[in-house]
Amino acid sequence: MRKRINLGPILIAPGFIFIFMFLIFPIFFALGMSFFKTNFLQFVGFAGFDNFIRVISHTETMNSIGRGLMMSLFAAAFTMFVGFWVAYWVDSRSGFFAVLLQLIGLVPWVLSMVVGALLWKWIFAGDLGLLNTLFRALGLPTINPLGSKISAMNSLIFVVSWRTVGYSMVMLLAGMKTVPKELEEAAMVDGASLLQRIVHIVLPLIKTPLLVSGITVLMSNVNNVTVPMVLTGGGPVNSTNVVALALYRMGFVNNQYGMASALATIVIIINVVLIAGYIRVVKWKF
Amino acid sequence: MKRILIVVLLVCLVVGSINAAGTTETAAGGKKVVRMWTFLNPEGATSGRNLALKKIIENFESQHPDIDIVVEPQQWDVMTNKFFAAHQAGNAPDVMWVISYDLGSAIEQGMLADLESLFLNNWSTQEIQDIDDSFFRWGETNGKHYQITHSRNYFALIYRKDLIEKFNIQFPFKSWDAMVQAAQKMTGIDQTTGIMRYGLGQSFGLGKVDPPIFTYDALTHQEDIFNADGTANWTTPQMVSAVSRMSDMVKKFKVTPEEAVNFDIEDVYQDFMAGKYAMITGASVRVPALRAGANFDPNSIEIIHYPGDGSTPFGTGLFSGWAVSVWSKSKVIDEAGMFLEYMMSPEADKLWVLDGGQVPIRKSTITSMKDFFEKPENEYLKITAEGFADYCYATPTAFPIPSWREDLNAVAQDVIYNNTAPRAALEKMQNEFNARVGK
Repeated sequence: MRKRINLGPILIAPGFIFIFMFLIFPIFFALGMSFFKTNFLQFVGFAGFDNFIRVISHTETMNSIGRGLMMSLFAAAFTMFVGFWVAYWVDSRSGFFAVLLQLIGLVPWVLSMVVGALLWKWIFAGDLGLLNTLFRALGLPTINPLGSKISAMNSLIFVVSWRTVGYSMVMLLAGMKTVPKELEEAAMVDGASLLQRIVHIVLPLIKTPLLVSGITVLMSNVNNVTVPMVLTGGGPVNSTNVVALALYRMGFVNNQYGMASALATIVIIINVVLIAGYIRVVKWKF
Repeated sequence: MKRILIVVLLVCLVVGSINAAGTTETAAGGKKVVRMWTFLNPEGATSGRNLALKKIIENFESQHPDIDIVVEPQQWDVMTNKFFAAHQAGNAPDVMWVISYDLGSAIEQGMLADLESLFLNNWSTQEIQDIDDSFFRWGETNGKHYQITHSRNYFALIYRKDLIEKFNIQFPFKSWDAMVQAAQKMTGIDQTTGIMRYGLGQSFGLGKVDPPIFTYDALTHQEDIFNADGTANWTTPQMVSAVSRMSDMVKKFKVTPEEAVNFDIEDVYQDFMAGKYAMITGASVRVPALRAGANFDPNSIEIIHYPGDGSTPFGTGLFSGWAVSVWSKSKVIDEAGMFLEYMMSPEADKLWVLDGGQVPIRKSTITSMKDFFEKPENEYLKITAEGFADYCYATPTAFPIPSWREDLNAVAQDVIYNNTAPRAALEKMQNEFNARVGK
């Protein structure tokens, strides 16, 4: 009898090695580094919880965590809201325009984040920006979307949402396709308004894709360093300095790798909470 | 079938592992490979420093058929930090362009090979004298040299000569106040383009950062912005006064737009080429690229030193450049040294000047190309060389000074946007800097 060869481990080995080297090992390396004094990437002495204490006692870093979470939540909410309505509209149509809208909606998601953010930066640029050129042509007063703390944060939320709205639309559309049309039609016959049909029929039936895409978008926003770095650089006066950007600067600009690792550990914990929520949702345990 | 599949997979794994392990020092055909990180990209280059580097590599490779120079282009603002990380990981490039502000840290970390052991010990005294200047001595430690400075840079005022003439402005400026008054005259709607033109372009964003203008204003009136122990020296009356003047430029005289708090330096260069500014604070190495992209008469773009304080004709600019070095742990250290040496050979030095628009490394190049430097369009090279000789401040290399430019830009943001008093803003960032460097 021929000996049976177990192919499974061999087939998954390349993928596992890749994931271990580029995902698992760096997490534990950063965790370890967060307990050490560092000179660039060299460990020069045990620091205990000093790096964590320095991170927590640094007001701007703590502000960046709050700011990052707030930006992520608002952007995710905006994304889900717009994504839902676009998906709902597309679901009720079958023509060329509906297909085109789905394709266009996905472009920002697949477009390079740097390119997308740069485009918006040029659109929002003061005197020479596309937006103000258009406003001038229409005889409207010019604006400066990146010029004040509030408008810069609003612009950041808008661009981050713009990037993810196509993704949420596709996810929610897939969920809506599984909702039997008869249910909505029956509700319409019973006199239910649009809002009532959405709240009592559509939303409960697409709860899982809604939550899954919501959490995915939220995680993507929390860890997004590219858009704030390119669009606003964290300014003006730290008003858009979100945690991912603060972390990047701490490590790769200030060379404070121990502190950056401690902050990264805090960000990992935030991500773990979100991932736990995600896993519960996909396993139908909510 | 399964056996064939397993064999195929194993072969893939072995081949993949060999590639991943990286035989970077040896290419196909037994050639030695020298990897170089730089912000330049010689691939398909048609002009400027990229073209100069392309020609230099081609010439070197034709003279050394056993060596391949592989350029891995990088983003200039994060390249040196990546080098620090790659050094620790044991995978740094063989030839590295280190940003001037981090040269001290790189030497301190033992990341750079000394040039004496690579080639300088074989040079004659006459040859060494040909390159011996402040750039050559920069970062010299215990009698050893660790870098050759390329893309030698001088931060000064880049201006449009056509506007200076049009507005009949007395030039060069006798003082900082005269410079601001001139900027005021040149601020207004541009009749040709219809866009709002500002007298002086600056950037205070934290993206791609150059030192803010008040650094030069202060350095014109005080010797250094760092103390000998590596701490920041930013709360002096000279610094406070310079920050106040910078704030006035934006808020009182409006010669710089308030949006500058969000601009990075690349925005300023782009907008200058579009005609948004009459003058900008910028780097001399950018002049050829600015001329190439300007939508007005490119020959009107010139460079001048910052104004003096009355006792000297001109103020202080910043000396900067890229410290090109060999990684101390390179497996092809001799070949890397040969290429570094070739990059400043008389032949290569001429290419840097002619194609790259750079100030030469060798004194003999200046002599042999006298006619070239006398041409009016190359006036900026003369001003740059003059700046190096007489009006330059070099950042210290004896101790690390991480993020000082970002800190000073944060001061500008705080003062302009939050109306924080200059001294308070400077003190806050001084404390932040000192805490960062452990003082």
